[in-house]
Amino acid sequence: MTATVTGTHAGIRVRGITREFKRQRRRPGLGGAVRGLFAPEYDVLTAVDRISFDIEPGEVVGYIGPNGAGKSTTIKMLVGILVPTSGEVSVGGIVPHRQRMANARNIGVVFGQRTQLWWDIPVSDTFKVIRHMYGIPLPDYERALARFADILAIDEFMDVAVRQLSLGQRMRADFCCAMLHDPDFIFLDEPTIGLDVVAKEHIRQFIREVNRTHGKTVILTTHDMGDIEKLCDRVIVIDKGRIMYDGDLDALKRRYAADSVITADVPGGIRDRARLEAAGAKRVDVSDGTVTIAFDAARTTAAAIVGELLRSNEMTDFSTEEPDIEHVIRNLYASL
Amino acid sequence: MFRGRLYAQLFVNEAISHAAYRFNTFLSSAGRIVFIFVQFAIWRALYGGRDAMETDYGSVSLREMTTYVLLSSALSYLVYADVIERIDQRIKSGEIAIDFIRPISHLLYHLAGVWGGSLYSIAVQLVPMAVLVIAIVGIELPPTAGAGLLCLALVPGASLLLFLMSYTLGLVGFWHMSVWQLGAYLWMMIRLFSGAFIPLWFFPDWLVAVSDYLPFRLLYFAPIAAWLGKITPAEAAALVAHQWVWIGALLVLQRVLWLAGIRKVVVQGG
Repeated sequence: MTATVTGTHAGIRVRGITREFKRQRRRPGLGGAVRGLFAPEYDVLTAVDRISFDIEPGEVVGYIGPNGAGKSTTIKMLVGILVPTSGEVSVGGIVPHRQRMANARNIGVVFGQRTQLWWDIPVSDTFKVIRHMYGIPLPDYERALARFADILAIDEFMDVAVRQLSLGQRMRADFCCAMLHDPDFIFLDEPTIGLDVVAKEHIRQFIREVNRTHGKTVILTTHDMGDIEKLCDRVIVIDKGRIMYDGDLDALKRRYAADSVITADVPGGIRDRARLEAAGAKRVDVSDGTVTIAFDAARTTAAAIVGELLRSNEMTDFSTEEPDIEHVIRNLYASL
Repeated sequence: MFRGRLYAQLFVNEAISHAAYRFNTFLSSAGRIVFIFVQFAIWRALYGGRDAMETDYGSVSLREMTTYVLLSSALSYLVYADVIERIDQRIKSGEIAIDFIRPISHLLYHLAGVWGGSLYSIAVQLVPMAVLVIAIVGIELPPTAGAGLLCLALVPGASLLLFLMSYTLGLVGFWHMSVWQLGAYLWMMIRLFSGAFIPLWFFPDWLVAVSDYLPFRLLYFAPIAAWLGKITPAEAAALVAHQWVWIGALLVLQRVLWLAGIRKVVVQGG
């Protein structure tokens, strides 16, 4: 039975989870080290502090925050590696740390920073172990392998020992490995870290495919805003163990939107700043015939500003820069 | 549910993994062979020209001691468990996270790994070593077929017992991150009490009395003494029983530690 104290819930349900760590206080010098040996003192750190959220089946949620915010700690509690100090977690109706085996069958996990492949044997041998580990019937296994090996282009290095793979190849094999047993929930902890642009795109396509075609629920932590923009409809932002934002990506963008910027070549300089400001320019900087104008895209348009530049100045060239998610997140983190 | 295919595959993978490090294997084999001949020389010197020595276990000839050294070296491949180092390394690097997200018995996972590694060592190190040493100095066969069988009956228990001792100590790593030092202590106790280097029949009485209460003699001394016919079939059968009582106790202990430890373990790294 998978019924739990939190009641069954088809998705992920998190209620007030907290995780504390004890960390020994290090005192400086040799004397401090010796004292630490005999009379250790501990600081209690709260990595995750009374967090609650629900994730519905089929959602792709970006779980973001600065380094040390508590992202990985949360993920570790969701996959059953860490036991919460307090609070309740259920993933597909299963309490991860209490029903470790049942939970393991339900989830696929990829850690960008470590591999679950066997280091010294070919990729194909790892997959064989995985098949036996999850008791995947042979036809299902072959079908899954054919499908994923194709999307991830794994065939070319199927028989190479893992230690000889490039990081991009290894990550692709890790993704395949995590998907073979057809889990309902996919947890990705910095899945694109260290990858080049092409490899990142490959991985993102795969995640999209897995979500859209197979309806998998995906939760991912990342520092790559491209991952967020291309994959997530919803983001949860966490800092110092608390949730700072939980909602859809567009609303987040609107709330923390940065200014758009127009950069123009105006050899004669700006003749009338007041008219530009009337057209919606927030800041106008001029240096050596290059003008940088910041404006709020919600209040005016690039066309209005450019029109004004043309009307009263000699503009020879211009470019516009949209506020991207990087800026949004930078503003958001700066406000934390 | 026991899934034999899974653990068989893990066992094979481990053996294949070892094959990647041939140079290591070669050095290790060479070192062990040299060490065997060093031990031969030591026993010859200790016997000082005598053919045999009188002990509580009856007369022991120099030739029997030569076989003792050979069997002890052979057992060091069969009764071997580097599981403390394995667990230690996985806790320190945070790879323990991967072990926890798999629907797999942590104990059997490590047992398959350790035995898979042993299989490889047996094939590429033990067999050539045994052939070489036997060709040079010969080997004393068991006095009766029964003695040989009793020796064989004591080996699986010895191997499993050592594994469980190491595994249980390794689990302490869930509380104290680094535990390889415990492995060093375990190996010290084994060296002294197991009869791996000095047979119990050369121990003073008080040390024999101490070792009777410890499980270590069940690892090396028991199977070798059975082979050489220095213990009666009844005594050997009692030693087999002792082995399995210890195994049962350690199975309970490791389970208690595991259940408490998974609440404590801190996974290192981001």
